[in-house]
Formats: sequence, structure tokens, C-alpha cells
Amino acid sequence: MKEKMSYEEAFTELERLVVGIEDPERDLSGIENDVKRAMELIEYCRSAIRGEQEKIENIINKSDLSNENI
Amino acid sequence: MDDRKLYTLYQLQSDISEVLAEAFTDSLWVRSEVSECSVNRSGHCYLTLVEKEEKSGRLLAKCSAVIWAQTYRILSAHFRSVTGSDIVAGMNILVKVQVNYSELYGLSLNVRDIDPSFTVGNLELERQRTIARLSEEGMMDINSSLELPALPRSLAVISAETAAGYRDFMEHLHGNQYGFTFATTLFPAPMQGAEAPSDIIAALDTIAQRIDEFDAVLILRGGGSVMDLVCFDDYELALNVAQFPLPVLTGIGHDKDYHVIDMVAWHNLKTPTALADFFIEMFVHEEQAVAALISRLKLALKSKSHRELALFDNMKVRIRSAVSLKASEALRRVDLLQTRLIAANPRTLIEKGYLVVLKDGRRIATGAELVPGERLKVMFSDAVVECEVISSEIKNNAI
Repeated sequence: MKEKMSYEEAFTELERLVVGIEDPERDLSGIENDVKRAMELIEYCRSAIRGEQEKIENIINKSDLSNENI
Repeated sequence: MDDRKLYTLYQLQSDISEVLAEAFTDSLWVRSEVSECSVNRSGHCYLTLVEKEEKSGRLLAKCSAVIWAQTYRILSAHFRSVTGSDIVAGMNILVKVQVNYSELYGLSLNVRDIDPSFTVGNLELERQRTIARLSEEGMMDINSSLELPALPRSLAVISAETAAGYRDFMEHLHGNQYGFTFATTLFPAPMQGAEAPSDIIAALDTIAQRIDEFDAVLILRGGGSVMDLVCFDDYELALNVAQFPLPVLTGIGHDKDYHVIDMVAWHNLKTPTALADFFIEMFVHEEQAVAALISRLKLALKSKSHRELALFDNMKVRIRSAVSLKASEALRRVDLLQTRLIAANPRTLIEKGYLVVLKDGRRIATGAELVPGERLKVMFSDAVVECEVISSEIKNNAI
């Protein structure tokens, strides 16, 4: 996954992939990579909505602070 | 020198007092701005009234006034019921006064009556002027043209720290039933009074220095009287909100009408709680949008795998029919073999008059090797006859 991708970018790409996958002309074997990427993006969007990146960053920041304190 | 008329100070003052009393026998209505106002322990209200030049704000006139306790009790109650506020500095008022000159205290206006609707109307007039000026300067749509991220999580909040509205907002936002997480940072500022606009502007300036940390700025106040909220009609404040580089959202508790900063803000909501809902809804909306894409994806994959399954089923049919085709061919071959078999059956031949000759129990088809004296069996359809070879003669074409 690209670094520092914004939620908006991820959502737009996901939407585009889903539209592509919905294309009746494309069969299962040809969309394998798109489906994989879509799954990654879904996970990314879900964790962005749920604020999981921030949670992790907070934990990292806090541990940085506590290290400084030591 | 001696023909000069000498006054004592008291005489002069009483003359002035007399002249004034004659000139202003009736009380009269005066409009002015309150620059100072205090109520003493006895309940008398002392005012300093001023008039400023409209454009420059330069002081044109100044006079003290008093509302005696007995009158003040009645007037202040009436004033508060109409404007929602006490008489405070900065307000424009219309008062009915009696001019009074005291030898000891000088000129003073004795307030007999007050018209609160003037104060309200004056505020409205000023508000309209501010709105017109901001529109003219193109300030109305500047902030709202900024982009608010789809997931605004880091919020800078300007509010009074102890305000009920702020507490409601925090409880509502952080206690949302969906479990979305937000990071709020409070920039405390008083939300009423003459100092409020400049303090809110100062808070905005502080936020501007940390702009990368935030997605939006929120200005909260949990309601109040017309006069309490008058600070949100301030021109300078509105100008700062309009030009702020982050979206500014307001949740100023009122349900009657807009304030000027509501009009220049990115978005305004009626209460701090409604503002919290607004942010929560944004996250709900995004989660639903992602869920919709997930189900579309599932559906697409399902229909594709169904199609693949259908293709597979079709293949099975073809295989089966191919197999059955092959099977019938095989059957035909068997039939043919059977026919040939039947045709080749010795019994059939015997019945047709051909003979089967057995030597030592085995069918023989040639006689060239037979020697005289050898015993053979000849099979007829109805009997087996034993014979002896008498002689043999080799022929190339016996039959």
C-alpha cells in the first residue's frame, strides 16, 4: 500500500475497482489482483474510519515521550 | 477692577442650574452609547453616556447619568425582559432624561424611562450593516469553499471551558454509540461580553499556528440571550472566521435566527450537540459507503462465480452427452459383434448344413494333415457321428 494515502484516495480507488469488478465482461480469473487490492483498500478504509492508525500513532508517540522521560 | 462682578463658585453653579432648569423643563428622549455602567450598594445605577463619530469612533460627547434605585428596579426588569440583558457597556440605549445640574456634582441626566426596543432594533440594524459590508467584501462564501476532509477527526474547539454547551458537546461526541474516536483540543475563550470577539480571534490565531494538527475549528456556545450572543455579530470576528484557513463550524445555541459568524462559517448548527452529531454522521456516512462497496463487490464476485459454475455445469452436460454418444457407438459395436458372433456360431452353420469336425475334441478346419485310420467326430444338429479316415487327397481348392 502507498505510504500516507488519504482516506479519500483509498475510497476513490476502491470505488473504481468495484466498478471494474462489476463489469460483466470480466471473468473471475482476470480480476484476481483487483479483488486483492480492493480487499486491502477495504481494510484501510475501515481502519481509517475507526481511527486505528491514529490509535497506533498515539501509542507510538506516547512510548516516545516515555522514552524521553527515561 | 472693582466694577467687575464677582461670583462665588456656588453662585455661578446655582445660576447655571437655574438657567438649565428653565431651558429644560420637560424631560426628553436621548439616544447614546453606554460607556460605563455600575450599580452601587443602594441600588442606584450610574452611567457614563457617550456619543462617537460613526466612522472614526472619535468621542463627540460625554455625560454622566443616573437611574435612582426605585426607578432602576422597574426599568431594569423591563429592559431585561425585552433584550435578555442588563444595561451594559457598549450598548446603545434610548432613555428619557431630566436634565439636572447640581452645584456639587455638575451636569447629570436623571433617567426616568428607557425604551429597550431601541436597543434591540439598533443591534439588528448594526447586524444588517455588518452583513451588508461582509457580503460586499465577498466574505460570505470564502470559508465554505474550503474542503472538509471526509473523516474530520482532529477538532480544535473554541469555547468557555466550564460552559454547559461544551460539556454537552464533549459527552455527545466522545460518547457516540458507534464508537468512533475523535481528538478534540480546547482553546478556551469567553463566549460573551465585550471582550469575547477579540478573545475568540486570539484563539483562532493560536490555532492558525498549529494548522496542520487540525481538520476543522469549532466555535461552541450553549445558548444565551440576545445580548449575550451579540458578540457573534461582530464584524472583526466574522472577518477572521471567513478568512480562516480551516473550515470553521459553529454551534451557537439559538434557534431563532443566524448570527453573522454563522453566515460566514463553513457550516452552522443550532446547538453544540447538533454539531457533535454532524461529525458523527460524517463517519456513519463513510462507513455505510464502504459497506455498500463491500456488498457490491461481494455481489459481483458471487455473480461471476455463479457464471463460472454455470459454465462448469454446461461442461458436465457436454461431457455427459459426449459420453453417452460414445456409449451408443460402443453399443452399436457390441451389436455388430453380436451379429457377427451369431453368424459365426457353429450351431447356426450346422443348421444350415455345414459340418463341424472335431479331432480329439477340438474343431479342425483343415484335413491335409489327417492320416488314414484316425478317428474324428462329425457334429450334426441332431447327432454326433464317429468316423474313421479312410483316405485323404490334398487339394488346393477342395470346395
